[in-house]
Amino acid sequence: MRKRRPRMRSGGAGRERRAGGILGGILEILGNFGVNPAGFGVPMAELHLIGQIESGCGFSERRLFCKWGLHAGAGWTLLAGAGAGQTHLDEPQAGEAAQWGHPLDLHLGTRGLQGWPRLLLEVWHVDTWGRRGLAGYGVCAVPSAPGCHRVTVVTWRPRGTRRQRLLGPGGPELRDPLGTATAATERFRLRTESAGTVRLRLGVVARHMARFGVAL
Amino acid sequence: MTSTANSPLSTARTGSPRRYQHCPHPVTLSPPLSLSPAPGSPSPAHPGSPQGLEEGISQITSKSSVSPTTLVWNFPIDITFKSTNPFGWPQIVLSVYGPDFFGHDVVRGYGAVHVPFVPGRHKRTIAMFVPESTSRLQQLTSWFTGRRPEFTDPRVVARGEGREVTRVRSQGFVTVTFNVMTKDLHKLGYDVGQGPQGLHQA
Repeated sequence: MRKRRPRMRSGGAGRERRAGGILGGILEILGNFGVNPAGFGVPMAELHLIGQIESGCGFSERRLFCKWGLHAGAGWTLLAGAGAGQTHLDEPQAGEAAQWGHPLDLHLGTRGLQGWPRLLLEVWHVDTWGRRGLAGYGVCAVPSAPGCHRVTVVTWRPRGTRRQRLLGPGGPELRDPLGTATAATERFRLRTESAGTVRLRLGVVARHMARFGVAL
Repeated sequence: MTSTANSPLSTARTGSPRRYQHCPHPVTLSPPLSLSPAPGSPSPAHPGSPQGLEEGISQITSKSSVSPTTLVWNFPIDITFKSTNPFGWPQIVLSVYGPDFFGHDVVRGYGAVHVPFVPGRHKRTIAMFVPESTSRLQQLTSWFTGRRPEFTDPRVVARGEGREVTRVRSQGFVTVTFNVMTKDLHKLGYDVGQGPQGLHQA
């Protein structure tokens, strides 16, 4: 009697499920081309971030735009979508909040949970002369639970000396906002004041997290 | 996986009093409703084949004595999308037009929102904005002639690229209600969390 061929284990080439066959094959090809350098065909867990940067309010000025960037640890790979961008400049006529409605659509792959992605937001204002000044920095972690979330990010800006506050449209800016705002260890010398809030609607779709034993 | 959206209700709240508005109403797909063969360069290899009307124009509506701040369209939407990758999830793009002081039809607002991916009933309020020119002289002449800045392709509102050079004025909101159903998301391994009615997605 012939021995049955043992089934391939899930740590193998990702072909163990027919339903995910095409995508598993593509991930394997991506792995062969270096997108997944840790091993050939090891399937990655994936995260989709689908949402919008909706509005910003409570700042001292009204004409605002927002620069955003997604930052994650070394184990995360941006598979599709733009990782950074800038909204349009809005001057609100209805209400007090600057409305951006900037769409976010990102596809991330990961082999580990360390360095969960964070969004760094920089809100800038433009005065009637066209000069740009800083309105606030804010950081928020991408929500981990799958589903649709309304996130309110509170922002802050560096509080300069009295002379700096009188001159110039925005006051002092950080030389390295990524290193200072997103790291937890670099802030103790900084004096800041509170600024307004940014509202986002972030939708999270996760894939294959349960396969790695991760409960979201 | 397929997802279906039905939307029986859409209303608008405007920030400044206007008499009547109509709303050419394209439901557009942001470009990559497709597989992404290489990171950073999505190309529409297999565009999803939606069923149902992708674009529509509503009736012309005006405010009334019983509803002095709200314009009601009550425009139905019924559309089905199909894909194997949530990247490029469909968005609905709205453009609102209305007459100005001289009777020219001018754009009153653009806005876009993602169709929700969690099954259930959802209400979304979309902020509408109008592009404005940076030159004061052009703002004055366009007020007279009725030729205001417009997007040549309203679908740019659904994309994030190229918006940093745009100056806009936001003036109003449109409300859309979605009923969303999905099929085979879990078969492909996707987890979208709980619906608003608390149905647990196993």
